[in-house]
Amino acid sequence: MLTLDHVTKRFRGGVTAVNDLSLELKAGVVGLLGPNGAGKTTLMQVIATITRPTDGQIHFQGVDILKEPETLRRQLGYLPQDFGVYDNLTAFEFLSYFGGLKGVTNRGRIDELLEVVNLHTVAHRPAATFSGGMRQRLGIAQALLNDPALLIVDEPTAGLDPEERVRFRHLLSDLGHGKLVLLSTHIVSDIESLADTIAVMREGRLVTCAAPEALLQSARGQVWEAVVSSADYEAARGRLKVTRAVRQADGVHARVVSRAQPFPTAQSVEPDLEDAYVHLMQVGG
Amino acid sequence: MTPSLGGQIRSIAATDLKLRLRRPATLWLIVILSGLAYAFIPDPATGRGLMVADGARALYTSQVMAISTAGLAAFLLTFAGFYLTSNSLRRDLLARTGGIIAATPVSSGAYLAGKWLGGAAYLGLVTLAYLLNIMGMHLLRGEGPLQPFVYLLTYLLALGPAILVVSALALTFECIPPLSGRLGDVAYFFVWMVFVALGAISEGIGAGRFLDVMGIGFILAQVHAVMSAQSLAIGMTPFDPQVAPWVLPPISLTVGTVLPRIITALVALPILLVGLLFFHRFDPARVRSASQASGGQLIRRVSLLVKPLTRVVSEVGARLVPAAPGALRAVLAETVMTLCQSPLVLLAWIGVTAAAVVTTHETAVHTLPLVVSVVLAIALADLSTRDRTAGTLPMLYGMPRVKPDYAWIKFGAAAALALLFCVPVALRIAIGSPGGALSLLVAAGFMAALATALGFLTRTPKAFMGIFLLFLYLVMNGGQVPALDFAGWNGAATGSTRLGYLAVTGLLAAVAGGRHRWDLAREK
Repeated sequence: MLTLDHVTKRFRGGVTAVNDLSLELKAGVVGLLGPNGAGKTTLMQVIATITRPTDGQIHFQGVDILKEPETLRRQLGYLPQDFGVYDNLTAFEFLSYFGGLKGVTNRGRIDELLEVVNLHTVAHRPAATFSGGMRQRLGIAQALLNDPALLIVDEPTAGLDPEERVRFRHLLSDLGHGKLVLLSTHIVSDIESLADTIAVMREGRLVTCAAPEALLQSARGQVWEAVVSSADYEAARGRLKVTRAVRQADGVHARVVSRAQPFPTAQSVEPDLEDAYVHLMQVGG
Repeated sequence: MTPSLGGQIRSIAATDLKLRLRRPATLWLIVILSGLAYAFIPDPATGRGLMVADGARALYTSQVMAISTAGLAAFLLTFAGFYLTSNSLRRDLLARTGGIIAATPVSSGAYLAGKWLGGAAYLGLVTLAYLLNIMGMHLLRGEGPLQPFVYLLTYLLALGPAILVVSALALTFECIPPLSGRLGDVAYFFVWMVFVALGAISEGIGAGRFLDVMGIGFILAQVHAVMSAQSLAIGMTPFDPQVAPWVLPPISLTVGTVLPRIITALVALPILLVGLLFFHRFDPARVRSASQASGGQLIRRVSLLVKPLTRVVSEVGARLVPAAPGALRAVLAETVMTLCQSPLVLLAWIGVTAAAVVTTHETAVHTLPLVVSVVLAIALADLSTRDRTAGTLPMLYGMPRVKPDYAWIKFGAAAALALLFCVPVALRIAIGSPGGALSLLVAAGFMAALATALGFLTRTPKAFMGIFLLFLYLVMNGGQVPALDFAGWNGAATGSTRLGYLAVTGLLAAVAGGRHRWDLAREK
């Protein structure tokens, strides 16, 4: 469905944000993980045809989108990481505007999406009065307006409360059938339950692109849990990769990613996706 | 889903217009236009007429009122129209919707066409509001029947091309990196002066009439067609009541009249094509390099050149600022920051100071204050708006005493910066022209207060740039009018002039403070 072939994006001044990245993605939900500055946002912008790569080729459904960006744009829904709304427009007017640009003239579609993102009761209020979460939901509705075959969402859950996050995950999960949803985040729990494929980037390069099960498998035997004293924990914290730590009456319950047993009392446990991601960042893929 | 080109352009234009109309500034604009409509059309009983040729006034028919008021509006429309419509792309960048727009199937050409038409529609509506006011004045002062079609046709022919070309220029300036900032705002001032000259020179004949964007040549041609007057004045002009009024016949719709206006309107298209060539389509890489190029490589080179000096300013500031008492600390910090982040301003200050030392007394009195005024038009424009734009306002409000005194801090910093430029020149001319030196110091306060008040009222640097540059144009052409000689360079300023500007300075500073207090009260 989407093929990236040796894609590189180099900015003036020499910074290489995406470095010789090749990837082949089929329909489904793809989670793009990576630390800040890994190049996720630039990669999303390249795929969304907002910026041209310095090198490489990108094909969507067999069409070279660098030559024919319009073909992709007609089927694209895009929610950038740093986006805003016009304060003087209402939610309905905002969606009508983008509907006009995307060729969606059906008022029913706008009403339907306002309901999907739970903004139907405030549809005629100016966006200036919206909270961060409401603006984010309006952005999501905008991305879905044209029923896109490719949906690119960059850090979409930023600003959403826990209930809205769950709602949004369900929405993406429903959309993933027959379409490609590319979701970039550095919050592993966002994609834990819904991604069919996880791509991990670091320093502009693709570290891995695999099913979540494969990632979990790679971290097996490397994740440990232990209850240690506060003093031991503080002493070890600098040299160990701790994925979780909770202070309780009996000490600190720490979860650690490590090749060797980190504490004498530590027990090997099943890794979750966050552990697998930390492990991957540690070993470099 | 294939969107239609017309639908896309309509959607962009309609949204652009909607956003502009919903700004509170639009309401103010219409109020100002109503006032102008009243002021432009004097009662002949006062001995002043709207259109006077060789001492004879024209009868207030629909045609005379339409063509005269269109002529007066042309000056304002072509000037202020640019600043009113020159934030289309910037709005999408600031609202952070550009990335989303770039990912839609809308082509760059359709996007720019929509923005152009949106800007033109806005100027058209503003003109229509002004026209309705003029027609209202016709009911009050008219000396013939009100003929709406005559008004509409005259305005369409006189101002239609201006509306389309100015909207295209504003958009194209935004697309071209070096012209997209304050440099472009100043550059347009000179373009506008060319428009004034072209209209006056062409007088509606020859090849120049095809570039008569302002429509002045067209208006002159209509009058000259019926009378060969030695002098023609539009506006509040004294006339000889002994001479019988004359009548201007309606404009005849001939090819010779209409075609040049259509061709002038079409000038907008090649201007837009230039814009299209430079349009970044919100590509982050191009937007970044465009913002770096706003002012060009020059700024980067100058920055490197002036770096040792900015370091000195920064170090001096680091010592002085913490030692300063109360609100003065924030004023000093703001001034130091402005100098450090604007190397060109620092370089201009060095230039002005050096010129004040080496130049002749005549140049120091008549030329340097003008140079200082133009530099300050650029330097002061965004001082009171930049924190809001950069999103640093909440952070600043967290500092002790900054929130309640914010307007005064901004005014203080603007005044400090203005004085920094004016004091060396004032010292240079103080011995030969003490009045001129005093005028210049008063002008420093006036410019600072105007920039601060307009920044707080409109939240955009363009209002100050536009209004102040227009004011400078009037001052330059004001000759011996004392009220216009705000900085003393025409040698016409009197003690009353200085006192007047001092009073206006206080009033403007109070307006800025009042607006800030109102904003804070609304927050609660």
